[in-house]
Amino acid sequence: MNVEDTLKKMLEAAAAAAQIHWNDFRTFAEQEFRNLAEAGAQLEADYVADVAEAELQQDPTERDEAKRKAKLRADLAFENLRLASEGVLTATKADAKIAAQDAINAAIGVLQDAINKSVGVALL
Amino acid sequence: MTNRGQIRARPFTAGVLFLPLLLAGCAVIFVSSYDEVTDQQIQDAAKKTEALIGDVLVNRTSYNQDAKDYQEIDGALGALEMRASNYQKNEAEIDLIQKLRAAMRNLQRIHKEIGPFRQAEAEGVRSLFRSLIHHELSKKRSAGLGGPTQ
Repeated sequence: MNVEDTLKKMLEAAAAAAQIHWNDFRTFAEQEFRNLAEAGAQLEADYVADVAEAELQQDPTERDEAKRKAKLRADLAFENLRLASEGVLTATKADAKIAAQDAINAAIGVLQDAINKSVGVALL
Repeated sequence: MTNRGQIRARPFTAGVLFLPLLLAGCAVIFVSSYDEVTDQQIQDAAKKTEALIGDVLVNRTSYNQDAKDYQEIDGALGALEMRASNYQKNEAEIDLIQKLRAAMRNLQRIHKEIGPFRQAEAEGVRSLFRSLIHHELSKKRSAGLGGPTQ
């Protein structure tokens, strides 16, 4: 078995396996953060409009109730954006682990093949 | 050690590092393997949730009209969480499902206590479904690369 050649092939296999995940991870994270940022801007605009509309209420009780509802829906929606941002992070962290896993396994596969080829039987 | 010695030592070290894995005869697993049933159930829950969101956004349906759908979606996600917790090294999937259930409850609360939710208010739930589907696709891709499968 040519150790240098095997090592080179192992590194190439590992890099190729990791690269596939990296490309996918980057596209996904970019798109998701863009969507969440746009939704955040819209929520802010909606909240400002809701409060302005509440201010138009003549009855103080109704005005306060409209403001309370505007705050509640904004709070809940922003909480969901926070959960979603953390979700993107969770998914991308898992991507990194999967990429590392596949890179190592690809390298092991190359080494197994090289050893089996060297001894002439499927030893491993 | 001389330079030549160092050059020889490097492949040797790599071999020593990989040898236990080879002798163990198994692949390295950092994230649990792809499960087709889980993937299908996530797709089903996403489809039902999208139908609900679409209905509320387009038809501005009342909470009472959709209450049963919320219940069914939460039930489906609960069953998914139960299945996901049976696999080791599946923390990411469990975490995403739990976040999704929390986000669905918040969306439901908007609908119930205030009225039909708006498009931007549904984005958190949609994004969490996309993250979960992305995670399943990564696992599936890993299985295609020779990674572990169920």
